[in-house]
Amino acid sequence: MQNHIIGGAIIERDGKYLMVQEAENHVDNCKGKWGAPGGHVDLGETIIEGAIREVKEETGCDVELTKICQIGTMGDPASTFLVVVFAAKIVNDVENFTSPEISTTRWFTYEELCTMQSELRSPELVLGSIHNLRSGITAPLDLIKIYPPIN
Amino acid sequence: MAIIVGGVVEKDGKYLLVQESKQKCYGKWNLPAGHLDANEIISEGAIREIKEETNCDVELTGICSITSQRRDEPSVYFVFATKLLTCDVKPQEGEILEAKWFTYEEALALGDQLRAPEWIIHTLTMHHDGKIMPLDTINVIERKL
Repeated sequence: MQNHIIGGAIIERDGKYLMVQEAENHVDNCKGKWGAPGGHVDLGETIIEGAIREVKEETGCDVELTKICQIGTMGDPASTFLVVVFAAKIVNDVENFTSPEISTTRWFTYEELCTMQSELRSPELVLGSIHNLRSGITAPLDLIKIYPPIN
Repeated sequence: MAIIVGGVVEKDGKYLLVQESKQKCYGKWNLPAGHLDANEIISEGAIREIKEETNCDVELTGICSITSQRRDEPSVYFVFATKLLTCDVKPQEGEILEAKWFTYEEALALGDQLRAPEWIIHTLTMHHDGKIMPLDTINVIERKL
């Protein structure tokens, strides 16, 4: 059995949300699909550190996490994915970013994203998280308590 | 990756803790909790772990704690507040030496006899102080693919 812990972020600026377009197919044939930046938490990281690093890798931007938008679990017979979606604000912006995993990044309005559900990698998660953020259905970041290393 | 789910089981002001029989933590007291199974959602997993380790049936009423640790693998722990539905306590054979009720003060006094003192004390303190977050604090999507 393999469980996965994923941290991601909804980054809002001037009413638009930063999305990344997948450059590669993963297990879910996602090449070309859009999604919120995020990915697997690495060894030795907390969920918060993992989300910040993934945003940096996928968008080049340094962000500060501000809230929790949504927690999701999705399972198939072999594994469970736990996804924590944070709200984030940019502290250091990068334009025209590319990486091996991401073909491009772009800002979309919520209305635009709602019309492109078939182009989203996880429409329920992305649109649900943005909806929560816009409606104030969020939890404070300190809902998740972080512990120091156990050696 | 460790996704741990469990619950605070309380009755008449006392908390139900379980004593581990695994070699690496033999004799340590813990909250009833364990690994989320494949294709299981966190609420189901918490109810199952409590049933397996203590034989109690519960329903979930809130969130006591969500924690994430830096350790040898990425980890997130969810502990729910619960309401007891049936309470015929039987420790799980082979896994749990004993299941026993402790007052908040007695549980704190266990100190190093707790399996993960910081996590357990934080969680029990949230419950004891009434800092239980509603289940819908965050909109939890639970979906099987």
